Amino acid sequence: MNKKDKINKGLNEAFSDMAPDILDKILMSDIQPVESLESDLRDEPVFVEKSSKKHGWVPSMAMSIVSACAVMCIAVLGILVIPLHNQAVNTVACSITFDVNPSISIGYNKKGDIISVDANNKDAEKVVDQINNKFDKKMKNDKKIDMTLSAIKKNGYLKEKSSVVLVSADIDEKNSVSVINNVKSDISSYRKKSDSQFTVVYQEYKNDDKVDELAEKKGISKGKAAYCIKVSKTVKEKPAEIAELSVGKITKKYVQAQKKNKKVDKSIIIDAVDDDNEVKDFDEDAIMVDLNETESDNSEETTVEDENEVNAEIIGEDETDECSEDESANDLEEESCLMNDDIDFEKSEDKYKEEATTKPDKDIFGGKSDDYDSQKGVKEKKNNRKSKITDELSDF
Amino acid sequence: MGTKEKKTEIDESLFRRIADGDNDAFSDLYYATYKQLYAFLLSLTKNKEDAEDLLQNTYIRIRNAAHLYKKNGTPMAWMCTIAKNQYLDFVRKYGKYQGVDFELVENTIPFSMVTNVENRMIIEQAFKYISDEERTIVVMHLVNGMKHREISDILGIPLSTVLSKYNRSLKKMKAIIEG
Repeated sequence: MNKKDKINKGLNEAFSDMAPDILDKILMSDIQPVESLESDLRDEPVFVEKSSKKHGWVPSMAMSIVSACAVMCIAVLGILVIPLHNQAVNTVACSITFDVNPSISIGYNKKGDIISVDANNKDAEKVVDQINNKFDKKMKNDKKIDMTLSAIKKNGYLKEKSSVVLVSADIDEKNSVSVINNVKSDISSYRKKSDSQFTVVYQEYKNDDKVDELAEKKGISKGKAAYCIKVSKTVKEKPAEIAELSVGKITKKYVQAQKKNKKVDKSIIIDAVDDDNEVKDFDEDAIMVDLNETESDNSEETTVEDENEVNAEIIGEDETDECSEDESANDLEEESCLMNDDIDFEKSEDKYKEEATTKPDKDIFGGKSDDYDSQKGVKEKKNNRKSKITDELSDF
Repeated sequence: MGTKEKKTEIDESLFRRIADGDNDAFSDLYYATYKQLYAFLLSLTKNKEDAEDLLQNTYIRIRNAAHLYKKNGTPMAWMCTIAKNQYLDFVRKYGKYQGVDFELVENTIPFSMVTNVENRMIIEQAFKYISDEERTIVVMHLVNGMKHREISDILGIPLSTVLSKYNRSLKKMKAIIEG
């Protein structure tokens, strides 16, 4: 039994021991059917910010009528306006999440000011502790976003070009979509200032039972869960399996599949440092996928399993599977695995670059030229593949 | 044992039968839900007597309003909303429960009724180390079997805040169990 189950069981049994059986008392009361349940079903928040305490004072009877009016005006302002204002200012009206591996919720008040930064997972706790100590109420949003991203970076994330931050907004939360638009410019200016090259994925999602369930099952944010579900439709894998991967790897998979299937999910926007970089980061994989497609096209006998195996080998998934993603310590390992992947890609990219200088693009993608065949042959030998498709392609 | 298994399946036809004056149906509903509603109210009030009074008022209200029940969300969410508003009316009337310390709470919650030592330790932690808001979210999810979205609607807290507070409080409790 894990700790969560232990807590679950402990709480249920303890409350069960304490709960009094008062059925007889209730049955003794007369039934008086009510006409309306409006007040019983009202949407009143239970927990209100401490700062919205009521200022309950009564004007003195001894005061003159004039001063009483003045006092009344102040009282109206004090009792109604200021607490309402405080409540609006100190209550989270909507929030967005940042997922790198640390998962952070950023809360905004009705005025659109950032008022809270919460950790959604263990990795994020350290980051959030560092930020909250430095947050000042008067600080502007862009500065707070800067600090949040800097703290994430300081903790070892977002340093690589292959790093990806997923920014998610729940479309059911009022203003969250406009908030995400403002965040775009803040993140983009941070990238310029800090000379960072990480990629940002923006998405709007609708929270439903599937998202809820996946987030809970995998202990991830709703944003990441929604992203996994969306990506699963494009890459045709199970959301639960995708949820095991880092945001960077999920994005990589998504871009590859997107290029392959020509399917675009309009709710996902990928923002790389510039177009060139985006292509560089993901296109080498895409090229390999395209080669794969050609291989598959040339082999009628290729089974789905064969194809998957080949794909996995080409994009180095066997290596990435060795990386554990759950714990923060392992994430560093994962980062290094990603870096290794990048090195492999760079090597491959060099080959393709050489090829690109001598052959037109359509040859690379079309896969019909001699160079392409020899390139493919080298790759096959290197990877030591044994599938039927490889044999056929070598013969070809 | 997963969270899902803890969910109470409530037969919605019970409400129609209760509205027709069927006491057996009311007993069935009561025994299927009173422990969860009590947990929710005790988490809010931190006082045995007050939670018991509110539990009684809530069920009387449910009985008197059973004919108004409409399938809009789960029955547990409907009942919890009524219980929550009973609690808010009570707070408004008596001005209670603002920043009560654990030392005071210790005397008003019947921890001694919990026979299993480990379970007693867990429930004491829930009242000692995590905030009222966090504890209520944990209880609603783990004991009442409610979804985070339902909890967000009933408590009037953004969904992402519910999720982060839930995760944070579970981590705190896990850390304490580890010692």
